[in-house]
Amino acid sequence: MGHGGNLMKIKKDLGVLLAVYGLLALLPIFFHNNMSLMNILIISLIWAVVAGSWDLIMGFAGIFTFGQIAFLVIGGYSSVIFCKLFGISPWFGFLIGGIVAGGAGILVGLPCLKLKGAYVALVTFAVHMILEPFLKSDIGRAIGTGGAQGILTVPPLKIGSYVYNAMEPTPWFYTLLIISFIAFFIIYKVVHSMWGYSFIALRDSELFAQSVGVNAFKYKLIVFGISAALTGMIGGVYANYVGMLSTRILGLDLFLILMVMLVLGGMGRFPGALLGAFITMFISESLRYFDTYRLIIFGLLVMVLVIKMPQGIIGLIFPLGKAGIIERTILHFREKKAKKAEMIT
Amino acid sequence: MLIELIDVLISGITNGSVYALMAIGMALVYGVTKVFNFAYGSFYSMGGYLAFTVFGLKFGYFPVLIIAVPLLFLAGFATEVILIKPLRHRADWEMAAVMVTLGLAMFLDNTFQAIYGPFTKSLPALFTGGMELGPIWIGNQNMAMFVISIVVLTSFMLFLSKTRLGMAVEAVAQDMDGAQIVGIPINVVFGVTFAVSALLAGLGGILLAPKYFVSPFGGWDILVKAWVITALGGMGSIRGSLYAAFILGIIEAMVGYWIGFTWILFAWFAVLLTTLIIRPQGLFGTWG
Amino acid sequence: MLKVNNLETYYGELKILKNVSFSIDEGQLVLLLGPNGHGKSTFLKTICGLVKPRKGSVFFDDLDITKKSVLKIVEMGLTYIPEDRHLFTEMSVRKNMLLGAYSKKARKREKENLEYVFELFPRLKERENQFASTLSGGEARMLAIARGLMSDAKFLAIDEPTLGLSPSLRMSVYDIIRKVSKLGKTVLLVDQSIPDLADMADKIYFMEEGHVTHVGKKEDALKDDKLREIFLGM
Repeated sequence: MGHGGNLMKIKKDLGVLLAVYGLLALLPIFFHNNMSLMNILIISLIWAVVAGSWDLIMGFAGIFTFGQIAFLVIGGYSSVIFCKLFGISPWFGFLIGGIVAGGAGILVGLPCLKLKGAYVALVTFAVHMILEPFLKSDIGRAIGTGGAQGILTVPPLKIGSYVYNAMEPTPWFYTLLIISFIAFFIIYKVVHSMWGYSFIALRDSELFAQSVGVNAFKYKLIVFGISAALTGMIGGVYANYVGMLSTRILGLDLFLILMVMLVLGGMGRFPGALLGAFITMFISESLRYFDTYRLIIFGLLVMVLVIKMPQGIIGLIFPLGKAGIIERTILHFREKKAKKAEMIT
Repeated sequence: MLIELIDVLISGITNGSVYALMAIGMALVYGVTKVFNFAYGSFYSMGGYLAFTVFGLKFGYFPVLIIAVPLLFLAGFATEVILIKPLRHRADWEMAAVMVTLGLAMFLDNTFQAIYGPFTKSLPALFTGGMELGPIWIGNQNMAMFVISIVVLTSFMLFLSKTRLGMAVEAVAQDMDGAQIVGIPINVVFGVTFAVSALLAGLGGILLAPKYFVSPFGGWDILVKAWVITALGGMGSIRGSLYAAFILGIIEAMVGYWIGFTWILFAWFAVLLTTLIIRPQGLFGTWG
Repeated sequence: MLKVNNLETYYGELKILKNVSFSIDEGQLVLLLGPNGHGKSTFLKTICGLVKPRKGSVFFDDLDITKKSVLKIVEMGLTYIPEDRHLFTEMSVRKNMLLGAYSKKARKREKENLEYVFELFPRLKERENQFASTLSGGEARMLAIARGLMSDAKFLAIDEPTLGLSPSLRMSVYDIIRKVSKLGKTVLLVDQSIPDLADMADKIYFMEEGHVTHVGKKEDALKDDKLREIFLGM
């Protein structure tokens, strides 16, 4: 496999992404009157971004974090609180949500740099666990989290003179289509950039990565930041779409559902998280009438999928040995080294 | 003031003894199999519900143990054989194992909820009354929990150091390749480790059921606490977990008494984070 | 006793062993020499079952053990003594040795073997109750060999037992291997340099880049220009 193989792979990933988005863009033509279906599609796009950025850090970078929903909540709350406090447009609120969550991500990432797998999982999960009592506490109330009740009114999203509303899902759908596409494009760019190769190198062998000069600390912090920022940004969008925000989304069911999206789509397989999100949401919705059993089935599904289908749906469509990834990575670094050597001589 | 302090310390040590029981099961599994078992808390709940079910049949506490011990042991063994073993040859098996056990936790917890409903179940106390030592009062229930925990802990330590199988378990924890080379059946050891760990968690659930009630998701609190304890002690270090359990038990009693119960988990995480910044491998942990 | 045919072993996509064939008869002492990182340890790991080959076969006592587990292979009497020791560091020397006799077969003769191994290694007897982690480098290597002997194996595959030891310690380790060999055990010894056992060896294999490049007695090796350089250069 030479450089051509590399390029092929990159084009294929982008092609799949574009094809999926092209198909999605057509859906409202047929279903714009079906409110509940449109709602599922919109929510799927939101969770897809969360799952995708979780996949970026866990699937690609191999860093075991359980703080993704915490970053979603941090982004959501800070976005809404800033909008209310300063009267800024929710569009800026989304950015602020991303920035605050990204900052929080780097902050959480710092103590994790020196820690090993299960410890990183614990520290990040601790953030998740502490967030709820914090948001409900007096300090939380003082900054405007609304305590146990949560935030019940969210400033509406406008574009020109048009005000987004729950009765018209189509504008919401296309807005989310664009926002989530941007998010996935960023993830795609990161995965196929120098950074991305460094992540993969770090995941597969820290020793190897260091031997070719990858700075583990720097890249780990960057991936913490990007993954949290994308999630925080979509947190703001989520709050705006749902129209309220409370600590209920910190419940374990969302955590599990996101995990189903990841393993169903294929961990570390771009854009598996996107496909996983849609399929999972549709399974979830079709099980709506068996609510008590829904999470039992999901629990079973996670077990079966992890054991029987380690590369998820994407793995079924485009099977790829792990060796392929390593080879690609090694190749990439060899090329880089060769280029460096050329420049010196 | 002195009496207050003694009271708090007694309560801290009682907490610590039960936490030690809960945490070594987790430390054992991590130390031996390198699996972080997310379903650990669900085995705790399973113990509680088993106790509730058997107790509901009006047989008293003794039959609870006779029925629960083999069932918990089996559940743990089956978990390893069915869920973990098929993953072991994979490069990303550690992460896969976490996800599988997370799936199992969700499956078990929601099954409990489907069977027993979302509300907490209560069990009568094992012992009532208490004794007075001058101005200090010690409840019999707490005393019994302390004694039972210490007995279980001691027998567990004896199992590890004196029996051939126990030594094999420790050998696998210290050096998996070394254990294979000398002909230790590591698959059996892995299974037994999971079984013993589920048993310890479940016994904890039975012991604590009268005090904290039984609920479908009650295990998560235990999972997080056991996790913090083992992390503080050094993941996989049983000795470290024992110390950490008592340290955190006493901190819990102090924070609960003087500052407020809501701050207990904050205090735990603060202690953990400070320790990890200074010693990333925990108090007694080793890298590798 | 051990017969290896056309073995090929990979680490990931990296081919480590390339078409390796090998044989050793009962009671022989055979040396496997060659530079570091050229597949000698992988070869030992493959025959003892720790690493599975992609191609080729391994026969022990005329039984195909290519796909057998380490456990089965140990119980058949083949014990691997790794270069990086893999001791149970937080256990006493005595417990390490007792664990060496974990397999069913070894358990029956545990007492006799313990006595005889302590006789071979009086130093270890003195330190019986110390943790393995407190031993010096030389003692730790001796413990690894001692633990291996406890398994009551008829075949010992020993990986670089003298690496990093002082000359006098090396001599005593080789002495022990000589004794073990004279007791009738079959020994396959892997080393980087030419050990003092070369004269005693029934056969010497030379491995480079995953290939066996030479087989024969010491004298044969000295006839080969390249090998002589390596032999005398040491």
